Amino acid sequence: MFTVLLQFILSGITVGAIYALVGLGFNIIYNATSIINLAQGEFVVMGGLIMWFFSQSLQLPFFTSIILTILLVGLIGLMMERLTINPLKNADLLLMIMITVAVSIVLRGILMFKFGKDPYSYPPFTEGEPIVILGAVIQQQVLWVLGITLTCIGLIFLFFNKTMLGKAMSACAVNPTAAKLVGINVSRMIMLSFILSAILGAIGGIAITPISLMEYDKGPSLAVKGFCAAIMGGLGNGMGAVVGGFIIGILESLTAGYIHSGFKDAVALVILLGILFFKPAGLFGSKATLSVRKF
Amino acid sequence: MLDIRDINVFYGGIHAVKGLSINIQEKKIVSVIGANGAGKSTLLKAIMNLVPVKFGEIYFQGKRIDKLSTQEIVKNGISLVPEGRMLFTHLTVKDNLLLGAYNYYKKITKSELEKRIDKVYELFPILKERQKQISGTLSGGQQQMLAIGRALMTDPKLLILDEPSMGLAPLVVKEIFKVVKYLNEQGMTILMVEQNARAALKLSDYGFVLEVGEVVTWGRSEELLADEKITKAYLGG
Ligand SMILES: Nc1ncnc2c1ncn2[C@@H]1O[C@H](COP(=O)(O)OP(=O)(O)OP(=O)(O)O)[C@@H](O)[C@H]1O
Ligand SMILES: [Mg+2]
Repeated sequence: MFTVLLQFILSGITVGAIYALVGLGFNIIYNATSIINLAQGEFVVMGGLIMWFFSQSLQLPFFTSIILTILLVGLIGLMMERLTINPLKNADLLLMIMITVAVSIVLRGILMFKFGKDPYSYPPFTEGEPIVILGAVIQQQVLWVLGITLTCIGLIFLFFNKTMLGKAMSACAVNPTAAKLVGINVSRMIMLSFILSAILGAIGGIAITPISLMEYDKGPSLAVKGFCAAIMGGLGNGMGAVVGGFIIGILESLTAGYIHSGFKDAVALVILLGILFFKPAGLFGSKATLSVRKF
Repeated sequence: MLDIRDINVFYGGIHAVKGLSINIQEKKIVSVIGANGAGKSTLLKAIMNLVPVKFGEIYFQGKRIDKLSTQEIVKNGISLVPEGRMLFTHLTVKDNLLLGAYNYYKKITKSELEKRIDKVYELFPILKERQKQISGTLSGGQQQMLAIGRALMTDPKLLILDEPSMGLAPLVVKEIFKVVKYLNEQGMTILMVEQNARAALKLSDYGFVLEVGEVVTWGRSEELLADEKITKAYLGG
């Protein structure tokens, strides 16, 4: 009884980790630009599929494949910003968000063209017996997912709170004019925010694919859940998104386990609506942050 | 030092600055006065290329700057304290100052950076006391001091201030003007826009009067203060 519950929670935490990364990615771009990047889920998908391509199709060594995947997805993030966001600098925010939707559709098209509609997977990072804790079985890859996610989250927080580059990036978000006036290259910071988000997504995708498989059209559902995580934590609040991601992952898994797996995907949307109705600033946001939010 | 030649700025169809020319000499304090909406802030934004100059040219120390990015203009030695202060309200006082020197991180040593911060703290001791406070929670006067301090961190030759006295108590204004005067005595050139026109003119060497995007009069501050038409129109009699 308890073991089953624990098992559900564990698998919830695992997907939750990916939602957390997507949510964090949303926030990084949102904080730099006020844009909601709805192509965020495609970064995760590309992480998994491109990793498959390098490691399985081309048979490159494991580490080389990871590095190449991260670089390539980072480059795609950069190109997305330079080709679609940067040229439209002063356009309406809603238009920019629609453009990210367009980018996600184009990326999905390219992925389907290259990879087809089949799910892909590759072996876990380490071979070996699953670990059993209190009767619940934990695959080694789950530990990889959690370890990598928590490390990434830690690094992102150090970056924004302890490094001058990170503070400069947050300054662009708070007041782009003032950032320019102290000599910060705001356009380069926005580019950096897309690269960072893309890389975070890619890392999530690389880590989760051995567990949950990856196919070309998983992006939108990941984006929706990451978005819910971000809203739940209070848009712009990085730690909030992380907590939100884990909560959504766990609730989803419990719903699938105890009610019906068909309801799983509705969980995030119900939470989203609930938050928007009752606590629009998010669990950790204040009214003040809501008032400066641009939409 | 700063030579603005016949510049024009548009916001869509609005012609906000119309063929305006101003020449600012080194080591002077120059004030720009004018009614609300005269185009004072727009002029300052144009100097920093925060709004594009459509026609006309701006030279700084002989070098054309109107096509440079804001970042490049700052590097050339001009710093603007913007209207409304525009602090990085989520960061501490010290972080705001550190970001002020963003252009210099790779160029100067840590001790030079600290020295520069100490200089700001000398000008505004309250900032040192409050260095760990989140800047958004400072009082209006302290915020203005921090905005000036942050602008000084770029080590400007020309410091531009947009309405530094806005919304502040007379005593605080006095303190801020004293610092401006001091900076000028140390060799910094100052360009200042002020609603508080009498006080600004008293402080400055020259004044320019703007009306709907054009310079209508300019001259030595004493002359402007003595001019009855100007005192009536802008200095409240
Ligand atoms: N972003 C903008 N878009 C459109 N019009 C603008 C914009 N900014 C300023 N204007 C217009 O340009 C003109 C000059 O504005 P500006 O802010 O330069 O005036 P100002 O002299 O600084 O006024 P104040 O004393 O109130 O600060 C005004 O008519 C204003 O409405
Ligand atoms: Mg103004």
